[in-house]
Order: sequence, then structure tokens, then C-alpha cells
Amino acid sequence: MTDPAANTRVLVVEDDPNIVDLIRSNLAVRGFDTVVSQDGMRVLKLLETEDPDIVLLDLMLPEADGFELCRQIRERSLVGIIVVSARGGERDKVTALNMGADDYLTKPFSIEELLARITATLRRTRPAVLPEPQTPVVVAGDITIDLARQQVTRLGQPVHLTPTEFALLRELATNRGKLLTHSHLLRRVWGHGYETETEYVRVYVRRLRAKLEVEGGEPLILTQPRAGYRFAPE
Amino acid sequence: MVAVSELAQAVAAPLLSVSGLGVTFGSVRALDGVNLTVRPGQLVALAGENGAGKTTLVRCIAGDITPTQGEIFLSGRRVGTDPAAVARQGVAVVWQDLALCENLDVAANVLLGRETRRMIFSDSRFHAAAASLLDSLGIPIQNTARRVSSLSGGQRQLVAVARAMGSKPRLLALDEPTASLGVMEAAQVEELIAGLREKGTTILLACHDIDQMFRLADRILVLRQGRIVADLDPLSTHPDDVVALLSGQPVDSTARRQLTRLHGLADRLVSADPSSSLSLILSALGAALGTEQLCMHLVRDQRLICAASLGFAPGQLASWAQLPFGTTGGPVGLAARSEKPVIEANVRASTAWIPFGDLARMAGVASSWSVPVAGPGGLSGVITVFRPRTGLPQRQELQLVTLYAGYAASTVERDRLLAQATARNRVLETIREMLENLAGPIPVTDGLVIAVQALRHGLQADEVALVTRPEGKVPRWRAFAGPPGGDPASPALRAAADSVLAEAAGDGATRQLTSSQGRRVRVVPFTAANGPAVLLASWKQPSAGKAAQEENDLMEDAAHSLRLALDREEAGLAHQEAAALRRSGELQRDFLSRLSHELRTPLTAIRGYASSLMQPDVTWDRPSQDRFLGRIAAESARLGRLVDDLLDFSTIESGLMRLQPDWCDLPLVLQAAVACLPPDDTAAVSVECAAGLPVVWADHDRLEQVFVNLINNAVGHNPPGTRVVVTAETVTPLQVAISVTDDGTGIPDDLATAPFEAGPRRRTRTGGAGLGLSIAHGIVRAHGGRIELRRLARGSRFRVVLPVESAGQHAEAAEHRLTDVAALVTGGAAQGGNHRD
Repeated sequence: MTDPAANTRVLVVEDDPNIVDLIRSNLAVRGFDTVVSQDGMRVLKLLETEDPDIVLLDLMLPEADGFELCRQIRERSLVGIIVVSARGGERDKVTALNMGADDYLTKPFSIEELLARITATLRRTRPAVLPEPQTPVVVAGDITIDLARQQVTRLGQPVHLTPTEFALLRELATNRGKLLTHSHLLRRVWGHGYETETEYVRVYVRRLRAKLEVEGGEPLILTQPRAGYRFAPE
Repeated sequence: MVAVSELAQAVAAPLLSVSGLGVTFGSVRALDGVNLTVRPGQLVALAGENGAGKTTLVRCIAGDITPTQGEIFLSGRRVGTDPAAVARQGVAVVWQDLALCENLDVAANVLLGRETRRMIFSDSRFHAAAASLLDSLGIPIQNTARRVSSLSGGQRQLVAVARAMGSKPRLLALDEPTASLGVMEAAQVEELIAGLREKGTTILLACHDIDQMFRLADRILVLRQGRIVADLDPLSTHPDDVVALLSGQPVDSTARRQLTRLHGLADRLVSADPSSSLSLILSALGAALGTEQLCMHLVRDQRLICAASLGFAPGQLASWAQLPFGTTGGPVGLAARSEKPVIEANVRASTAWIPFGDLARMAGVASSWSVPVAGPGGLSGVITVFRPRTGLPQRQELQLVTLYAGYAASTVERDRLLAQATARNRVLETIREMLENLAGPIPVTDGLVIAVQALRHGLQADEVALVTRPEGKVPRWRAFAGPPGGDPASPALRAAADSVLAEAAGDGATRQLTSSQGRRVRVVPFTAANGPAVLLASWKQPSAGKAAQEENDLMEDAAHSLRLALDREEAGLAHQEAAALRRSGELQRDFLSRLSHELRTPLTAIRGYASSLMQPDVTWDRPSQDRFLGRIAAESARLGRLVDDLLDFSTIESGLMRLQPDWCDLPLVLQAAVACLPPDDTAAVSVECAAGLPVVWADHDRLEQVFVNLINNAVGHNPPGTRVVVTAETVTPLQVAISVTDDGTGIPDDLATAPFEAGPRRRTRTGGAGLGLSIAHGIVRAHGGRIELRRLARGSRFRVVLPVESAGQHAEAAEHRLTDVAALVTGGAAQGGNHRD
């Protein structure tokens, strides 16, 4: 496996100087390139000028709404977003995921945990060369999924998916008609250690449905209550 | 949301009904499955962001676009497919871009297409017709010969509306009528719309301005991405919720919505007319309990008739419309027969609910409580609360229902009374005047005064007064009406009030008192919600003669109405209390969430740095190791301080704070406090103590804590370079004052309103839990002193005033002064276990 730190730029959005120093020291020593924004104002600008590979976003910033910032980042970029928050509630987690976050880390965290989450998110959002898929193109109703080119179209019009959304769709579409459990999807898409984060799958399936399914049309992703999901069979 | 079945839901058939409407432009779905109905006389607002489909919907209704799917009916008839046909059916539309004829004058535009032959041949008739139309709509455009192109945007909009109204439409659709207007002009157009609504015009208003919708609309439909996402009642909705719905952002505003609703209902309750108060009481109860489903049965002809309900679809309660007393009447019948609350913790396991299984299933009822409403003449009804989960109600909840059952009984009684009053002419007139005053939009207190004046007039008495004695308090003269000239109440009246209120509880019956002062006094003692009360009247003439019975009746009826007014006042207070309680709950939640953040921040640093040092794959250089360890130590100390503050705060909050007082030298206390500051900050602080400052009887350590907090606060909340001056002086021989003054940026508004309350506030540079001021306040109070905040032109000043000795220690303290040694010894003995060891 290649070193995840190589040529990786992390944008840290955090106002507490101690935590900035903590994250920066640990990332720098492992070869990551770190850019810090202590307030919300500069984030969108830095996103453009620094082109980070991943954003660590604190939700509680002075003079800024962390959720809104997350939404704005997602609107502009497919960059991996890990929300770092002192708020541990399920609601905040689901809201952050809904606003486009890829992962949610609750304070206090250990450095191992932080590094593991960064690595997992990077693997997903910046995937290495994948083995040639057996079925390079999957067609379901109006939707065409080009697995090799990582492109999705509906009626010929491109649909923009974030890397995490695409990874989930690929997993579902390459196992067409098969029931995939929550923990299977979590392990395959998010990585080891995520098996119990059921709401991640739920939020992301909802996001996929919103982007791909037509109201009243044939469902693309079928829910198997309390078990998992399956992609519409051929 | 309130359904009053007594009104038989005599709702007219919809004027406009749209079902399954869909419009597709190429691949864009502009409208998608839109269903809506507009009833005659309603003003329905369409809210939506740009592109949400508002204009498209209006264009469909106007016949300007043929929908891809769905149907539109006007009074049950399908609307035509072209604008002219739709206009003939009675739909008039004012478009955003108006479509006025620029080169024609006002009259021509207003009457365009409707010129009669008579008009065409007479210019003056033509203009008169236009002017009369404008005038009937209250549009202030005098000169109908002005060219439209010379009018302002607002005037053009008024002309366009006038033109639409000229055809006497059954439905007026307005597309963003004020979107491009200035404030004044928008207000003019809004006034016109409000006027049309008053006259009963049915209006569909596509609109951007959320406040405007709340001012004008009976209903608000929210469109998002071509779909109707909400159908809202402005009275029970908060504007923020509409904003959230428009943008599709999720909001959690249940608590705030309930608060708003409670406020709204409390307001409406005060100004309610009698016939609607039952459902108002019911919805107020619903709001107070946080319950969505309630109903109320009234006793009529030995049966229980469902008079009001909340939260049920029409027809859902059909099986409960009329219930007999006893077992066959289910829980309602049982509660009515036993006159005791009937609690069903689980309706599935309840025998009383067996006949009503369908109702329980349809309405999702899991538990119910039926509480009898006891009126003065026996049982008057039953209130039933439905819950979607099983289980018993809490004690306060049940008390709340009983409380509201009392209000309901008063209301039923008031309605009955009104009916009886029709028999007596003069009495009726006075009573009605009084009730109107009490039911009007004025506060109860003012209403009482007006009512008492009316009563004095009706009784032809010299004086009338209402005196109450709230539980455990002194009598309070709530209202008094005397002869012109403003004389105070006569001694006879005062004596009567005192003697009646000293007696047992009032029964609401009149009695006549003879007075030695040559006045005749009638009194009606009664019991209001908050204690005994008495209505008094006095006459100089010795005998009432034939009018005696009338006087009796009038005073008893009046007393009854006054009791209801007093009860309503009490209910208003209860509402305010409930609202305040909810607000304090919200603040507490905010506070806890902030506190959790403040605790997690140092923990994150400690855990992070510690785990960094333990990483097997990295060897940190010496400076990094030192820095990490230093940070861990500093953050642990910060965490320790936070925990200390929390413990102090909870000690103060729970009233368990114990002082260990001794004679303290204030300059020493202040010096010690300054010494606790970080070395960098000490330079900014200067201490000035007046000469001859007495020693104070206080807990040295706690006092030091107060000044550490105040000085820290002054330094921490202000920009670097701020000077802090601490002064101590004697204010009276028994009081000293210590001021902490800074010349910084001052206290923010949100903090200045309640500086000593713990609660969510700005994050501090010092990183505290925001408890410093609360703790200082608690300690100073425990010393019998007080603490005040003053905002200065530059900076702010906290002033602590302390007693030299606190009350109760005076005699003892005098002895202490004899000799230092004696003071220490006796002080120790007197303070016993509290003494510092």
C-alpha cells in the first residue's frame, strides 16, 4: 500500500490553537502538508487556492455555522470532509452527513483514530487504480453507470456524485439484485472499523436516491428493512 | 387545527380546486403533483423561492399554460384552456409584469375591454366610471386622465389590481404584487389587498415576503421544486419555519413553535369571544401538555356531546360525537358517572375502550385520560387527552388538565349565563357592556375598572368596588368607581370590604349590610381562582325600594362575570409561567451543550497530545515533547478549574454554600486576588484602597475568588492593553464597596441583560465555562451583599457592596472588637462547626 501522506494536503478548520497545533504536529511529522484556517471566513477561499485533498472541519467556529460551511464546501467541491465536533449527538452526526460530510469524528479523539479516519476517507475519495470491473457499464432504467470512467448519467445527462456516493453506488450496482447488509456496505465503502455506523449508509442511500430516482418511478435501490439494501435487479 | 363540531363544520365547497397538477418544460419539472383547494373568501398565499413554481401555478390557473397532467376546477367546473375562457369563468390575474397599456391613461387601462357604448361616446362618463371604481376600492388616484407611463410602480400596481377587480372576479390571483416596490408603495398595495380580503374576495397570492404572508394570509402553501411541501396556518406557524421549508433546510423548532403558539393562544384567550373559548382552552391545554389530540364533551340532556376537539381528522371522532353516561360511554361515560378522572394507561388492555377500537387504531391512540369538568351546578363535561404512547400521566400533567377543566367549566358557565341574561333588559345591557369590556383586547386589569364603572352606572350606585385577597396576602383593591371628583372610597365601603374578606369563603350570593354611616352597602363575596374576592356597592339613599331584587340579580351576575375575568387573568399568568418554564428549559439545554463543548476541548488536547507521545511510529524531538507535556499540564489545569467552577456553581445553585467567615482585611484579599492572575495580566491591574477601610466579616478565600473572577472577566473579555482599576471604599459605616472598572470594549448586550445568570454566552478568551460571574454573584449574596454591573461610556464597572458584618452577627461582632484574641475565641465558638480548621 502506498503512503497515504504522499502529496496530500489537509485543510484544518479549527479555532482552538491547541488542537490546531496537535493536528498539525502529527500530520506534519507523517509527511502531510497542512493548511490551517482558524475561522470560517477564509475556508472557501483556501479551498480554491490550496486545493486540499481533505478537510477537517470543526463545527463550532466563532461567527460561522459549521453545518452551513460544510454544505457550502460540498457544493463547490468533491473533497473529502471529516467533521470534527464536540457534539456527540446522533442528530448532529446525521445532519453533518446530510450536509455532505464523509465522516464524523467526536471530540475527544485519539491521534490513532484521527489518522485512521483520514486514511479511510482518502482511500475512498482518492481511490487507487481499481481492478477492471467485470461489467464496465451498468444500465438500470434511465440510469447508466460507467464503472470504468466513474461517470453516472440519467437520460444522457451527467449526474454529479461525490466519491463516497459513487463508491456506495458501485458496490450496490456491481452486486445487482443481491442483498448487501449494512455492515457489508460500511466495511466495503467506508472501511474496517465503520461496521456499526449504520446511519452513514442510511444517509448516503438517501442522498443517492435523491440524485438518481424519480418520484413515482421504479426504485433503483431497494430497502430490505433491518437487513440492508439491494440494487434493482435486471 | 381546531375542529368545533358544534359549528357542524359548515364549510363551503372549495372555489378553486387543483389536483395532481404537473407541468414539464423539456426535461424540467416545473410543477409536480400539486394539489390545493381555496375556499370562498380565503386568502391563500403561495410561498416559494425563485423557480419553485409559483408563477407556473398561477399561469396554469389562468389558462395561460396547459398543464402536462392534472386538473383544475372552479366551483366544481373544469376551467377553460385559454385565458379568455378562464377569465369568463371569473378568474382575474394581476401579473408581475402587469401588462398595462403604457400609452393609455388610467381610465382606459382600468376599463379596458369593458367599455360600454355609453362610455365610449362620453369622455366624462368614461372617466367617472373609472374614478368610481378606483374610489370603491379606496385607491387614491384622483386624475384618471394621467398616462400610465407617468405613474409610479406602486400606482401602476394599484391600477392593475383595479382593472382585475373591475370584472368582479370570483378568484383574484396576484403574482408577486409588491416584489418590485419600495416600502411605502408596498404598504399601499398591501392595504388594498387587505381591504379586498375584508370584502370577501377570494385571493391567491404568490409572494416572496414572508412577513406579508403572515399579515395577510389565512393559509400559507409552501412550494419547493414544483411540489407543495407544506400547508400552514399562520396562527400556529413561526415565520422561521416557512423560511426553513422554502430552502429545504431541516429545523428543530418544536419548542419554539410551542412557545409561539402558547403566546398566541394566551393573547387570543384574553380577547376571545365566549363561543370560541372552549376550543381555545382546549388548544391551550394541548400546547401546555405538548399533546396533539384532545377532545371535550359537554353534558346535554343526560348525554355527553363532543363540543370541541383538537388534532382529529374530520369524521375520526364520529363514534364519540354522542356518548351515554356509564360503561357504554367508554372512558368518557365512566369519568362522567364517577366524576373522577379515568386513566387508561393502555387502551388495548382497557375494557372501556373495547367498543372504540377503530377510533384508537385510526387515530393512533395508545393511552387516554378522561377528566371530569365540574361546574357550579354539578358535572358539566369531560376533557379527554389522547396519547400516542402507553403509560400513566405525570402528576403535574394531570393537575394541568384539572386546572384547564376549571377554566372550561367557567366558560361553559359564562355561556349559560349569557343565555339567561337575555331575559332582563336593563341588567342585560350593563352585563353585556361589561362582558364586552372584559372580553375585548384590553388587559384584564383595565377591563375590571371599566366593568366596575359600567356596573356603577347600571346599579345607579354611588360607589362600586372589587376587592380581592390573594391567598395569604393583604386585600387588594382591584377596581373602584366613585362619584365624579375622585373622592376615595367611603369608610363604610372600606369597613364592609375588610369585614367580608375576613369571613369564610364567599358563596356568590348578595347580602345587604346596614351601615352606621347612613349608607346602604350591598356585597357579593365570591371565590376566584387566586383567593376570596368581594364585589361591593354603596348608595347614599337608605332604601332600594322596588329595585332591590334587580340590584341583587345584577350584582350576582356581575360578580360571576368578574370571577371569570379574574380566573382568566390567572389563566394568563399560568400561560406566561408555562412559557417561561419552557424558555428556561431551552436555556438550560443550550448551557449544557456549551458546557459539554468547554469540557471536551481541554480533554481533546490532553488525549490528543498524550496519544501523540505514545505513537510507536514517531519519535518526537525534545522541544516537541516539552511543548506537548506543557500543553497537557496547562489543559489539565484548565479542566480542573472548570470542574471546580462547576462544583461551586452547583453548590450555590442548590443553596448548600457554606462560608467560613473571619475578620478579613480587604486590601489583603484584593492583593491575593491579583496575585492569582497570569503574570502577563498583573501589570494591567491596579488596586487603590481608601484609608481607614474597616475589616469585614467574610470568608477570605471565597471573597478572593469573587475578585479573581471579576478581574479575570475584565481582562479576558477586553482587548490587550485594557486597564483594570480595583478600588475599595467605605460607603456607610456598615458597608464597603469594591469596584472593578475596565476601560475596554464593554459588555455585549446579550450578556448585560442578565450578567449573573449561568447560560449560553460568547466564548471567552479565558476558556471558562461562563460561570465566573454567576459564582461571584452567589458568593456575594451568601455574604449578604450585592453585586451590580454598570456600563460606562468606555468599558464597564462591577461594584460589590458588602456589609461590614452580616446581619445576625451584630451583637457577637461587637464583642469581637474588644480584643483580637477574644474575637478569635468567641468567633470560633459562635461559628461552631462552620469555623475553618
